[in-house]
Amino acid sequence: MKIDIQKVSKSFGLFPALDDVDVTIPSGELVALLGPSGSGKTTLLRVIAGLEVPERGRVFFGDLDVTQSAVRGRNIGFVFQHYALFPHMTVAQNIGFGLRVRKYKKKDIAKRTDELIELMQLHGLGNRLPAELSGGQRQRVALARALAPNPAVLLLDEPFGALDARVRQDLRRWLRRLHDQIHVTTVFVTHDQEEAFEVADRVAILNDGRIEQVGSPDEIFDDPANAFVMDFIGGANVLQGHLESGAWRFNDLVLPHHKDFGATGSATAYIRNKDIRLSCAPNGSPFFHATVTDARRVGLVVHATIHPQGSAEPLFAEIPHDDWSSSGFKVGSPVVASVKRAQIFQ
Amino acid sequence: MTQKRSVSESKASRVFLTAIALVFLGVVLIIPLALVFHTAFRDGLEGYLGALADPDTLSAIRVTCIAVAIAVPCNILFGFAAAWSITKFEFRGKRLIVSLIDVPFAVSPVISGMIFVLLFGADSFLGPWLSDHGIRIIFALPGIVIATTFVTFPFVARELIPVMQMQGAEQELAALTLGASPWQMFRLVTLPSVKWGLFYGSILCAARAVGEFGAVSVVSGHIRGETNTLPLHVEVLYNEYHFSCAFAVATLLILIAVLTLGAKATAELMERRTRPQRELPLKEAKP
Repeated sequence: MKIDIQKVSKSFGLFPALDDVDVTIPSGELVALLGPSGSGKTTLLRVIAGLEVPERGRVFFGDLDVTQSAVRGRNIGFVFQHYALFPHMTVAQNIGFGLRVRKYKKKDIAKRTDELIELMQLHGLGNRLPAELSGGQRQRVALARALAPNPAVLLLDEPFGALDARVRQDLRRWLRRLHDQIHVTTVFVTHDQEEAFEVADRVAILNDGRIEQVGSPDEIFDDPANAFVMDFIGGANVLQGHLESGAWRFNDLVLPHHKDFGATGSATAYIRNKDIRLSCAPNGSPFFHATVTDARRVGLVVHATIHPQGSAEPLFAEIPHDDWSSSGFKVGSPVVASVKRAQIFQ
Repeated sequence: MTQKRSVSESKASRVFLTAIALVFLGVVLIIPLALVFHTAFRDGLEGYLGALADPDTLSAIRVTCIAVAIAVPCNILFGFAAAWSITKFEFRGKRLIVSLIDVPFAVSPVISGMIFVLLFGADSFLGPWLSDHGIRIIFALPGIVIATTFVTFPFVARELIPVMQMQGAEQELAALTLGASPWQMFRLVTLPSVKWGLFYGSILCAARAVGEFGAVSVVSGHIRGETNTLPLHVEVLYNEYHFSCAFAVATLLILIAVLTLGAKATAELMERRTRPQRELPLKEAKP
């Protein structure tokens, strides 16, 4: 089911958690809400669920306006960060809860519960209490419980936040595969970029209660909508330069741009560490002269610190280790730093 | 084992400390208890049973039972409502309510009794109206019930508030997102998750209601066979030098205390078994 959020605002006291948010979540997609803490991503999820009522704006499921509907009428599945399993019920009773309160027959509940235990790979755990499960198992029980009544929309709040790194890695691949199997419209909240980009079809970036950009992982990486997104995703070197005759300039570095900026003025270029290449001579890309001041190997890459000529601010480059060792550069070497790609924002 | 010993006291001081504890327990608890039973059975089993079967004793048991049977359900209801509103909602004056719940603990029971005499007694402003309508509260059963309820009302709320606070609202919200009605949420999720806390609070409340002396003493008027509760009856018998009868009735109160302790231990054990999951360490698991 498509979810349409139109001009939604919500504040807690004086703190505006959501400020005029517009976003559409296409039917059957897996969408991540990504943002720093306090950006409003969890509030947005809870507005979709009906756990919070927006002060302004509307929420549509398909063509149906659900802004004022109670939680129980929305047919959603919600997975809480800390699972919120019912501790006095077994795994099977937890999973069957949504069917039990809908007055399904015992036989049908048992059948559906078995199906989900199968789907979630929880074989043999049906009679355990939540306290007897590991974190990853609890999370899958929570997911099974949310999916049992066949919700139109599945909502997950930091679903892997409370798990350790290994389990988190496994579970998110598994969530992706699961979504490919069942295709329920899914929205999940995360502050972990890797998680968002690995799992989601589309990522919505939130900041200060506003949507900064919505797009596929590729779009967000390659074409960030603004400086916040660029800075938030992956981090980058930040250079203050000025605009002159259709290009951005900083010392001897000249970056052409296609944006509709004014003819002159200052502008900021964001260059990702991995988009800086070091060589002995220019290779056609925009470049600047610099000196290597530090180089450290971190696994398969070398983190190099370079000082552009005529500037005190260092820049950081990430060079594949093989390239670095074949180039023969050392600390102190003069280099030509080419910029493969940069984003310029005024 | 060796590691444990290296961080604990020397053997001599352990024996010494344990001995102090045992002697103290013996002097203030075990010897007095033994004496109660010894005195109770001084006139033999027949004397003991005779004391219990006395019409005045039976009447005291009846009055106590009625007081408990009304006070405990009232306080369960009140305690639940108070704990619910305090833990699930934010509102002004919440702190004040939390403090007010403790008033019966803070005020001497005798004062509590006096308050009700001042409120409902013959000389109070409600007094004339009550006597015009033939309602007797002070020196009658209603007074005893009201005083008992007042003195015991913090128990259930005090037990439930921390339990509900620890659990938070997530499980209940989860129930709502799964399609439960508010009543289903309460019956299937809220109530089971606090049931041992509720049970324990009720047991403490009942034990206190049975044993309440001060407040009830003020409002009851000590009318034998009518408004005497068990503790009041013990006092009357004692003051009249019927020692073995007084102690025989006292053994009933001790019995109730022992049952309370047993129920408390059970409740704590059961609660530990279903403690909220997030407190347990997360184990590594393959999904």
